[in-house]
Amino acid sequence: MARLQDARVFDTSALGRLLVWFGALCALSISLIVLDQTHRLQPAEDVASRAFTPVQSVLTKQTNGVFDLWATLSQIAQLRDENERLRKEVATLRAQDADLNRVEAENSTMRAQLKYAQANPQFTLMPASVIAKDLHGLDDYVEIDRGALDGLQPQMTVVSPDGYLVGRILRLTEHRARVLIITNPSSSVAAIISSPDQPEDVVDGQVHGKLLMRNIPQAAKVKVGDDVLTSGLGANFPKGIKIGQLATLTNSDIQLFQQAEVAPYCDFGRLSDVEVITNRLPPK
Amino acid sequence: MRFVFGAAFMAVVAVLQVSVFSRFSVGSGAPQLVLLCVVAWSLARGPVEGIFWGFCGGLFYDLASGGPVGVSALALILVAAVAGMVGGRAFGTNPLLPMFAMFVTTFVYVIVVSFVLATLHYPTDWLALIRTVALPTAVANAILGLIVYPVFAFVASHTSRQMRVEF
Repeated sequence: MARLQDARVFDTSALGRLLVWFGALCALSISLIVLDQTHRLQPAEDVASRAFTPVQSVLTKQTNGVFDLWATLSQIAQLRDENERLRKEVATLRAQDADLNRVEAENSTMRAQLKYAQANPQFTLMPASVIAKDLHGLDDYVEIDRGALDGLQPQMTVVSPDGYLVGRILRLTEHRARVLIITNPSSSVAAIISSPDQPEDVVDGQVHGKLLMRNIPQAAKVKVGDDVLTSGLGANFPKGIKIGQLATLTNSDIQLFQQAEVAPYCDFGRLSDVEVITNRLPPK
Repeated sequence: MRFVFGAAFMAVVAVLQVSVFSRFSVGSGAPQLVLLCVVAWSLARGPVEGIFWGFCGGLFYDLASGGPVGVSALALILVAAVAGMVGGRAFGTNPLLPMFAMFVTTFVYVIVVSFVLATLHYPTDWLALIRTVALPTAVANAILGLIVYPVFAFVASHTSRQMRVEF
């Protein structure tokens, strides 16, 4: 009923009144637009500005805190997107960093290999990559990606790219070989200590990656830090390859020999590339 | 007296719009309080009062915002006329209809204002305008319309009709 009483039941006179109002106000608005565009409303705008600006200024200052919060809330989606984009960028950069580190490591290895090859022209070297390793202390070995088809044979000496002794080839297949490393308990290497009287002994592998020299003569003047090298005796390994250095020395008057632990130069845990000396085989 | 009160109310609303509501950014748009009030009153009281207060509100808004004077007034007259003519026949049953009316009139308002500004050689990217301004503003107004329209409908039902202006 109330609806029917509303003046919006469009009879002719109501519609006519609406059209008159509508036309008049539209014409007035368009006139104002034209006057504004020709800068004739500037005095009125100045008056309005003087009236509105102080109020607007106060309102703006009083509500700044609210709008800071609103701006933060409305930017959550944007911040989430940006976070996601940055995560992807970090992942990409990390991958690039890993690539660079790998290339740098390869470069470093190859430079070491080249340096060792140039310093030891008597050796024919074949580079190989470590593809598997077991360093748990009972049966230490590494596997390399070269085998019989590459010309490798059992007992060939294997050194690190820096020229430190790794071990010898124990057995091989066509495309891979198992290297018995010097820390293996079944490994023995004839060695010499680079002290003034150069005593000789055997470096034995021990469980848990240790090396031990048990029979250093009592009279030998050796000290912790002396280099230990292959002696070439028995012709199992070429002479002069660095094994490690004396780490501890046990000397007692009631024993016939001194005993020393040797710290290997080669870091077997990080060993990724090796060189096989292919032209120095022990006699059969 | 009622005219003075109405004009003062529209001036306050225009200042609030420029200083406060325009900073509630929704996309590149913001809730249009002046438009909400004009459309709500037009829906409640019909097109004649709607276009009158649309003109007043638009004029105050243009003066407060520093934009070209008359542009918002013209656009609000148009949407108030449409809302007032449709409102009396369609409303009263479904509370979601005012929401729909707010959405449509806001969209039309933004387009009309942009069209007039483009005519005055203001640069206008229509696709971006529709996507980032018209639609977000229309959605915001539609939601606020759920609150604003009942208030204006209540006031309209408890006040007598304004004087008729005879020509």
